[in-house]
Amino acid sequence: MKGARLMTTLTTRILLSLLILTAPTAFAAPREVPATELKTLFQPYASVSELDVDFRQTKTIRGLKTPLKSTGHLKVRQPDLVEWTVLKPSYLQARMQGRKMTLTTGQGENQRTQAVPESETGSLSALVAWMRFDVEQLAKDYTVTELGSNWYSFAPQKPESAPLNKIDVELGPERKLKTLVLHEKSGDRIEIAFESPKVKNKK
Amino acid sequence: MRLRGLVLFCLLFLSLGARAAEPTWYDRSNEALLPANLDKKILIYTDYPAFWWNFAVVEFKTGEIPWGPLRKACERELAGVSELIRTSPCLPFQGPFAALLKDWSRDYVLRHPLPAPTDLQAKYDAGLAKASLPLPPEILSLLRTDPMSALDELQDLAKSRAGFSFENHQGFFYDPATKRVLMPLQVDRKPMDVAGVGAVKDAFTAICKDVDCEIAGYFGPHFSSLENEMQTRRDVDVVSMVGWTILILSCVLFTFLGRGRVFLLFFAMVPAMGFAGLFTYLIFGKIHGLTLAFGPSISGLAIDYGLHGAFADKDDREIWRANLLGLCTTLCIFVVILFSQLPILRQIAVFSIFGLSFSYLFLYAFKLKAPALFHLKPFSLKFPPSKIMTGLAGVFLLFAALSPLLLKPNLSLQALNFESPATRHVREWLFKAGEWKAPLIQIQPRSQTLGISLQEQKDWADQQHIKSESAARYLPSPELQSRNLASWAPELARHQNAETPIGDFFEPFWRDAREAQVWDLSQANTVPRYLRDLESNGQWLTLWFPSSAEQSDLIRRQYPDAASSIEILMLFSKTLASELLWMIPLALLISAVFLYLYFSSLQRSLFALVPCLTGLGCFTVCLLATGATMSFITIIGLIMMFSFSLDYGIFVVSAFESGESDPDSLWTSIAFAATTNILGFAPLIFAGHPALQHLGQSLFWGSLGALIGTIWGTPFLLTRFKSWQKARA
Repeated sequence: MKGARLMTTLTTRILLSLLILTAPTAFAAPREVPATELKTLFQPYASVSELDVDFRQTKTIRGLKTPLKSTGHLKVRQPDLVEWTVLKPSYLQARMQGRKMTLTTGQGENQRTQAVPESETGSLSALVAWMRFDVEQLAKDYTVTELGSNWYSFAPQKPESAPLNKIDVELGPERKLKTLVLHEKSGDRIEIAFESPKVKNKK
Repeated sequence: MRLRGLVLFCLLFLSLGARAAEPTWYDRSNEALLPANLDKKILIYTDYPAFWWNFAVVEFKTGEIPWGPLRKACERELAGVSELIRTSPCLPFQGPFAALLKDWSRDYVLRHPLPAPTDLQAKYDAGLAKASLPLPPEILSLLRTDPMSALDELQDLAKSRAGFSFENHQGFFYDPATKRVLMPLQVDRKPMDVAGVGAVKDAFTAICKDVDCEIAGYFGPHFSSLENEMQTRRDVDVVSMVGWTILILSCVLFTFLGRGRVFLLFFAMVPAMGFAGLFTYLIFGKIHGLTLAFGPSISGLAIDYGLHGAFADKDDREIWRANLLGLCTTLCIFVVILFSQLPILRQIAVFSIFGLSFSYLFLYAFKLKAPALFHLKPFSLKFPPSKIMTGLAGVFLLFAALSPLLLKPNLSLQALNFESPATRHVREWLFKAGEWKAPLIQIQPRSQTLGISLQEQKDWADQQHIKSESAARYLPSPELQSRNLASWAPELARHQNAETPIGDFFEPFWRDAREAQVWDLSQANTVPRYLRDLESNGQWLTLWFPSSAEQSDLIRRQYPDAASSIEILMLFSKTLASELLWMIPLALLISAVFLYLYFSSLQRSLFALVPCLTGLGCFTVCLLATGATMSFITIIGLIMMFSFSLDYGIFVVSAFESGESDPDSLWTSIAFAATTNILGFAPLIFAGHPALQHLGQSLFWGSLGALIGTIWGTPFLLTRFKSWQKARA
């Protein structure tokens, strides 16, 4: 018994020491990323003409106990086409070309496509705009800060008119997009993990 | 200025003021216009919100239609008037429409049985897939109440109901040929209640400023009511100004000529109007705006008796006997009108009978109590015989005889509708380019078998491939609802407090669905919000949309009470026309009998009718010459004209009877009365609103003809008749 207590106390002390040691890093102010650095960060995307990537998404809705999980595929075609396709739990495609957005649900005979008014696209249109990886536009629209460990946060320059509170981004090896976290104004949180992107560069 | 003209202007003005103040005694309902058996049909446009749709038509001169900015501007501007809006594509999740969507999603379990497990799972998955997108909170809330995609179902039903052949852009209709966008809007109040509708128009003007478009016009019951009211106000403003100017000039002129006291007669009649209003209120419980407009102006005709008495000798009993005869013949007309089926005509008749009688009494009392103030020295007026004028009176008599063949009154209520050129253009365009066809309309009263008959209608329409709209399209029979609801019981229980994505995310739907109750439309005091467009006071609306004449015939054979809007509106004109067919001859006959009893001579009785007939003839000639149209209001104007011109005829024949064929008093009173009539009603001819224009035409042209008949018609015939009698003797 005594040995077990001693072990617990020891473990607690080690953890506390570790916390104290890492505290300065944790509480350090996030560093603002200047536009030039942002350009470097997103260099891999600057020459991309086509991007195809699968994703896994977890949406946590404020007040709900169970998160919504989905998987799908993202297709970006520069300059202005973005297709956000949910494959599970059911097929759904949000397609944005320019400012026009359509939503297709169902497949085969049950397929239904409808135009979505801009006012109803909300955070989705903000996400799609972000997905165009237009670095100059991103620098205009967002204040980017480095959170550490390849995490960056994009806070809108005009928070009152922006549909999202912020977008957190994790870059993986070779600065490829790994995770996106959307913080909605309602308090809902959407975490999107990207897998095996296929990229086609501009000629 | 003569009192009846003045009173008409003042009361039209006051009635508009009264509308704003809305006292409890004031009635402006359409029910008062129509007989009980017709009002339920004719008032469908005001009673059923299904007809409360209005459209702003905007036009883009150049470039692509900026749909995004247009919608944003529409959302922004209409948000400011959202309390007036029932449904708009610009405010899809606000106000009554949001509540409607909630009811619609909840009642899915009444409309459909529980789907097979695979279908059910597919529906849930589709709902969860939509919810996985980043969405605005109001959309997410809506999705939580709609796992079965009930909103898509409602959208499909709404599309089939639109009835336009234009492209549909997220609720806006678009005609690429004209680059016109039709922006629909359902107002959340009855069409006659136009308060605030001006602000809605302003909102559309602001939209066009934002996106550089032009308003081509507005179409719909609320915009039409507003347009009518605004035009009436403009007209009344102008007419009032002219009226007051004439009144002031007359006052100055008569005071200068030493007859200023003539205006005391007008004041003697003011209490008479008050009493007439009081008695009308006691009988009907309310007074309609039209009664306030026409009642006092008809009652004001009694000023003729005052003028006739005032310019006569102090002890002239003959004058007052002639006045009494004039009163009796006028009352005959209104007693006959008392038997009309149209409540508004009955109310105007009651007001007029009291108003004329009290005015007569007060004027006579004035003469008895204050003869020095009452009596006035007549002007020395002479109207020498004129062959031309007598010939003209003869022509008018001829046209009066031909008038039943020549006059084609449009007694439809539509004839009283004011339409600006822009509105007319937009309406014609909608019917032509939009291939919009008015549906056939059917009303079903609440009954035990209502649910069954609505269901049978729907089934029959589906069998015949005829588009129809009724409550059955949205809600099955109570028996079927019960069966559907029972099939959902295990599913509703399964998801109670379930910590699964389906149970958790769609929790608002499960909660609402557990509260769903079977609707029995034959019993229910309240109805679900999605059916409120089709219900009014327990009556249910069915709309039929035939695509061909054959389908239309088929519907009429199966449901003979189904009628088009034009046919329904024609019910009013048919009723009025059938009444006029017997009322006018009967009123003239009774008046003629009175005249005969008084004059004991058929010829003299007919001569007394000459001013009426020359008035009618002059009106007929002018109407044909100008190509003007006639309406229900024209008939009221002609009745007024008959009333006063009959008095002129009686005065002239009485004067000849008493041996004074050319007394100054007679011509002074008639000239004064007729001239102020002509001057008073002339401005109405130039009114923009057809109702005021028609009133002005009948009274102005009628007065002119009556004056010619009185001065050059009746005296000529009386002189000839006397000569003939002498020659014969």
